[in-house]
Amino acid sequence: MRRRRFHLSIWESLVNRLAPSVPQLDTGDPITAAVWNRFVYAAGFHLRAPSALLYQTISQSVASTTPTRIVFDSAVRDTEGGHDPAVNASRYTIKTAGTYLVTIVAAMQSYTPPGGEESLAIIVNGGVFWAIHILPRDPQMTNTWFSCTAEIPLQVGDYVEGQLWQDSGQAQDVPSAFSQPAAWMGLHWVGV
Amino acid sequence: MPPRYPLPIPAGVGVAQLGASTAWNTTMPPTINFGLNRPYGYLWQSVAQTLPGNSNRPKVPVALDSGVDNAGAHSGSVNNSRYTCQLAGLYHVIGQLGMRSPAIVGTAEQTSQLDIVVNGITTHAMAPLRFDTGPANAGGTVQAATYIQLRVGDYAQLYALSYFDPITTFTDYRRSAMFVHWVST
Repeated sequence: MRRRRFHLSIWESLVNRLAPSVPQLDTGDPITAAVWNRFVYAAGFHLRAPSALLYQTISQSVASTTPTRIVFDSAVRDTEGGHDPAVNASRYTIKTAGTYLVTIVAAMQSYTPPGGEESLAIIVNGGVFWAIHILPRDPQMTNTWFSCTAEIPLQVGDYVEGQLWQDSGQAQDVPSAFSQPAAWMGLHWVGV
Repeated sequence: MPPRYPLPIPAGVGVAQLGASTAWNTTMPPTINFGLNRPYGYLWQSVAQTLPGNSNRPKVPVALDSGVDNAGAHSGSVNNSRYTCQLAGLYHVIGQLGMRSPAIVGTAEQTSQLDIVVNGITTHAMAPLRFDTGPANAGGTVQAATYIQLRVGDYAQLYALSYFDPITTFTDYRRSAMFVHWVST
């Protein structure tokens, strides 16, 4: 009788968590402890899939016409350790491959002159745009709030960031030093 | 077209039931593995689309000529604005519309609009898009997101509100796109 062996592929050995798949059995195969535990692992994975919720507590300045990564210095949760507030704090680095639902929201103070643009984008690996929200600058608004969402297939080592941009001719702040964070990034694993 | 990822139907077992591998195979792998590959589509526009100028400002489906689709729900060439449901259920949909400003600027009502629409009739989400009042063709990009309940054959689309003058979509990093993901029965 042919026996199916369970092993870690090269891909699986590189990730923090295995893809939570459950194998088919050959006819007559017993349900072994290994097979059963694979199911238990998969069920547990789905109950606590990789997720993170990062936010900013320190106000940040966005220079004119300079793409600026949002610095997330704090985290509500980070199940995989994909974020380090001390090193590359703007990044969430993927530890478990898969498709992730990513949402970033951020506020930026609005200054004169009107007529230019302000934007928030979700960027992968420092340069690939997956979502962007562009608004004309309106100095009558104290803060302009942006929101971007995307579902992004990501590999281990890929990193996700939020990028702000504006062309007012002067620096504008992400006012997180005030009463509440003005920038958040939330994400969770939704599939392979 | 049958769903590429049919919905699993878990089955219980009786006391001392024989054929454990069969019972396992009909329950455990489909149930768990379905969760790894739920119907998902990421569609985008790579060929610019011009909405003719029209004082009645009709809404126009946004062509999505490129994409990734694991459920056979989208064609890049036939009705390519549509994501057609192959597995009934609740879907999470994200739409993005990127539109250049009209070549003639300075009119008072410089807006377009993004709608997420089901079956060409029901609007489930919308977001106004205000053009940059600076240089011509500067434009803007907005997003909307919502949950929609779909039956097999229902289709989701993005619509763009036309303008008095012709307006053209972006195809660069500001391009229009739609994400669709099955969430639940």
